[in-house]
Amino acid sequence: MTVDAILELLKSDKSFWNNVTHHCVIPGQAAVSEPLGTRMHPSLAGVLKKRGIDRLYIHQQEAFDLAESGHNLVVVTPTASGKTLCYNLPVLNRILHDPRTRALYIFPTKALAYDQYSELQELVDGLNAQIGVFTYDGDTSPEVRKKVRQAGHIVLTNPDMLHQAILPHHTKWMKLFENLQFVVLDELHSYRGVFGSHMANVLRRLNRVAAFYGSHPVYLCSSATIRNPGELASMLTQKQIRVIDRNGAPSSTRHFLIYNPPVISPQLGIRKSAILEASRLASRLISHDIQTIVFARSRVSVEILTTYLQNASGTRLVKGYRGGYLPRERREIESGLRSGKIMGVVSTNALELGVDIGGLDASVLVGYPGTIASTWQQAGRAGRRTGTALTIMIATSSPLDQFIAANPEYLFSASPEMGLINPDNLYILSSHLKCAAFELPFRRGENFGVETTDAILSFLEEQGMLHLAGDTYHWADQSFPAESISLRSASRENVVIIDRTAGARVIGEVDLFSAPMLVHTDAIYIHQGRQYHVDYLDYAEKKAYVTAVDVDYYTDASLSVDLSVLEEEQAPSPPGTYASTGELKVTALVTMFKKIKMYTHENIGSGPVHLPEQEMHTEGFWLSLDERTLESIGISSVQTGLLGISHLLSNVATVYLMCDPKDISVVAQVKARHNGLPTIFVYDNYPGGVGFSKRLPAMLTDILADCMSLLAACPCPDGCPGCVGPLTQVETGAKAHTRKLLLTLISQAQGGVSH
Amino acid sequence: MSQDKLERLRRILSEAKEARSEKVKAPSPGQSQCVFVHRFPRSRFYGNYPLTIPDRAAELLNAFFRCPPPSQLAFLDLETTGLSAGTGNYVFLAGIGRYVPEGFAITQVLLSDVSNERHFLQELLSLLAGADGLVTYNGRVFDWPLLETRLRLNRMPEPEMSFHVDLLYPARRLFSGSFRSCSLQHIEYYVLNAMREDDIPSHLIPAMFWQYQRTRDVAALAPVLEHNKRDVLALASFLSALACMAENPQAITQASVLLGLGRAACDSGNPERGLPLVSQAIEKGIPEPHLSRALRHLSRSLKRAGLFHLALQLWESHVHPVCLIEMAKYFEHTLCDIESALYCTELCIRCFGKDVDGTLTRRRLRLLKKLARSSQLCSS
Repeated sequence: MTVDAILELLKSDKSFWNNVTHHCVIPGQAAVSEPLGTRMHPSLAGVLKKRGIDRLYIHQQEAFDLAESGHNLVVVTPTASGKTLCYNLPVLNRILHDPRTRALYIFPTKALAYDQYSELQELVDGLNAQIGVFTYDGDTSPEVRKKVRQAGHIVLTNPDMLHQAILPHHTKWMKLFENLQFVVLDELHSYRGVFGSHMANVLRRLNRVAAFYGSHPVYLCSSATIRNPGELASMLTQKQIRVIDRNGAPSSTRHFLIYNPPVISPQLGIRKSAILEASRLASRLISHDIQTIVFARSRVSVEILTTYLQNASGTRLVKGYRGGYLPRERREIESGLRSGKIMGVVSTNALELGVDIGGLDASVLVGYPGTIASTWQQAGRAGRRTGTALTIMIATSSPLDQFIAANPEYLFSASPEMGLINPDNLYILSSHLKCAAFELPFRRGENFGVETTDAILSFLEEQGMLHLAGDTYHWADQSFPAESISLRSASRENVVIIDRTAGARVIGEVDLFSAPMLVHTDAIYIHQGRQYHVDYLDYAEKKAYVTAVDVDYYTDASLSVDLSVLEEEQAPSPPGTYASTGELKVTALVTMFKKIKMYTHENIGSGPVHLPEQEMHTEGFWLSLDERTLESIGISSVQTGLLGISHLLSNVATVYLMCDPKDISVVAQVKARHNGLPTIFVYDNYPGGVGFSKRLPAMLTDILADCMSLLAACPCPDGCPGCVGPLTQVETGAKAHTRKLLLTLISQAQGGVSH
Repeated sequence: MSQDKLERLRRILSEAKEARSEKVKAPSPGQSQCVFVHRFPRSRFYGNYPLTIPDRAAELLNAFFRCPPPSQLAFLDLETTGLSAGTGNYVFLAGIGRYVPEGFAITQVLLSDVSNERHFLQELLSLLAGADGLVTYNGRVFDWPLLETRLRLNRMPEPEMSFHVDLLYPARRLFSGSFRSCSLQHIEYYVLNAMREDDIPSHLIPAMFWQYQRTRDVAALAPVLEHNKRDVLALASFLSALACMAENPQAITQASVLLGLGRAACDSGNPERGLPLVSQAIEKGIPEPHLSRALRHLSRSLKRAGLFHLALQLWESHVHPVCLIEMAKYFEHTLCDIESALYCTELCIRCFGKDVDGTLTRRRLRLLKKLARSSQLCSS
């Protein structure tokens, strides 16, 4: 069945179509192109012509011209617009003219590098020239590594390898660094937040090492649509950047539906489960031979959906895809999607990036992905050059999703998020200064992106990490600093999951921080739709032993969080409140887990979890009510009101901070330990903080107002997951209490801000 | 007094004399490196072995370990500020041992100012000049690449060395069956029989260097200099021990050591020397699975070198499944003698049972089939 036909079918199904809160058609566009220019090397032009390309899209031509004349640039065009040619053509062209030229390609993941390698190699094969193209990652064997360093014209790698393997051993890469003319940064938008802040520092180090060998490479970047691609690119690379955003590629017509599952219990404000609705919808699409990708928000929901869809789809092949699968498994899924052998795939945002899986017919988004940019990336996975593409977003009951379902214009008219990074975060910066000092000694007065470089260096000297001789700081520690710094999350360690059903076989991995939640003893761990019972989590040895089982429930662990204030700084606050920013210690402990029945999602039991606490120091913002406000509102109102506000705040704040919901956490305490007052804490979910919650005081008034309007717009009688939280978790009158507290805060804020 | 005791007494006396080692250049401020020279006479032993190698043993070292003539050798051991490879690990002390007409000499170069590494490296290179072969312990992986890194960082040319004899490999070949670890300390203790008293633990060394950089007190570095000197002495003594073993393999009591020595010679292209030692070792008794592994390894290297007559000699002289199967393969694929191949296979099954090697039954069936199709089978 074609996409157009299935769309007609859906329209005629009233039980479905009545819940569609928004339907729009985004028209396709015809190609805008120019003939190949004369600056292109004849053999490169020859290869393109052989492939039937005798014209370039305008953005490709612009990128080629700018790169040729030595400009740093970022190309911002949608998925499948021929972005890779924007950097491959100028790089190959330069190598053909001067074979000494070297280029370094950086992809956010190993999988992407591998994917681009095949495409680039195909292009190079046609050129009939000695051009070495290699991937360089943790899987590259020692014999091949030597060859890559010597003969690689183009080396495709990832930030982690650059950070831990290439830069600290740069003398082995002398040939590359001496001739480094281009650095390609693909999927630039993924370098946001913490990861981006790390990346900016890795690139500071790259620039520094390249300069040591006399090279000043030109950066060619590509990015999905974000609000500030040029700014992000120049913050990352520390270069002037030209933005190319005139897209010349053709695109298919796209239908975008927002589906809000019907309310099944008006009292409780409970809607039909988005996961079940997604499973029904996706299996319907798949059974009509519409190749479909489903994006779910968490690893667990990916696995649950995969299980449901595999059971519902009969002979048609459905696979799960997420981080934690082994590389070969992922390669197989990618090629299965390209060949059409796999009809359905359920993925986390792992497939949002440019892994080549071809164009699918439909994409189903379970829940708002958190940012507008992600939404368009995920939607863009459906759509071929011709025909019609279908994207259906299914709203969950979270306030953010309900906000989008009620205000779809936010998605279609608001400009997408900003890519924000904070390269000068002290924790991140000083980590990378250590690495940089390991790589090359620092001269006093040398600037590593910040004015305060000298101050940090002399601090590190006091700590005995560096030795100052004359005017030069030398690395003086026995350690290898890059080893203990992970670009991705707090800890680089992971827990491997070992299946002992027959022998012992590693089936996947999970990062150390998530392990207590996902693979605690007696958890049901789901992998590729198969259930495994965790027999034992050996936390010290970082191994989880599992055996395959077949049960009708999954598990959900609950996390209890405790906070203590380490350092406090007063911030401007509305009268009757105290606002502060500062440093917090967060301890997280998984205490118990629930057993949830498949399909009905009812709670059928629980069990304890015995694992050590995890501790993190971070930055936060907190708002306390003073005694007078507390008295005037009443302790019971404050108690439920605080919980309600924190539920609203955790959603609205991400919109204001333009961060991923996972980047911050919100916790309410009726009697905070440091001052005994009712307090709401918002903190950065990252050791040392990234600077998100610190920005809250300036936006507080606006955020509170938006919490109020979200609350007012919610149709539920007394609290639901879409506003102050599910009724089962809050007291009666939650909505009223929350409204009362919010109104007090807002009116006090309008009355004036005290210092 | 027995000959043995006399020998030991002589050694102790010579060591006492050696204690006055010579310090050539005293460190002075502003000077970027210090150099210390220690000279040892021909009679000097370290542990059970002399530091120098008699001329007649030189040829044996080449035959067994591909070691160039002693006069071309430079022994090298480095002290560093870290354990990692990578650009942030400084070399601050190099001990270089050379054979000299009067015996053996160790020259130590110390980096006296970390900001003037270039002069230190120049001095180091000048000491290596004239040497064509390097002797190290784990130097292929650690010392030499690290030195290359330091030279590249200072934009200095890397010296050309035709040979690099990393003694870790022969140590493993000969002694991995004997003790847990083949670290130089273990070799020193078990093989050379040399004791180090008051040796500084390696992990304290980097901190002492940085302390020295702050205080400029060379005296405080004495334990590090001593440690490094002893490492170089141990290197020379170990090479000499290897020469002794090659010269007089009959004195080796341990079968696994003898096997290792034989295999080393085979791998160095001298199977006619190595194979008899291998046979002797097997007669002494090599436990499984080491024996099978060794036989397989030897067969492969002999076949690869095209030395089928020697390989056949090896197979014929041991009653072992690996040998019978190797022979079966040889008869079948090289000589096209299906009947003999079948005979070897069946013999192997009769002697050792059909489960001794997973391929036996299949091999036998295939050979039977080939035989049935008889004459015109082997055309190539």
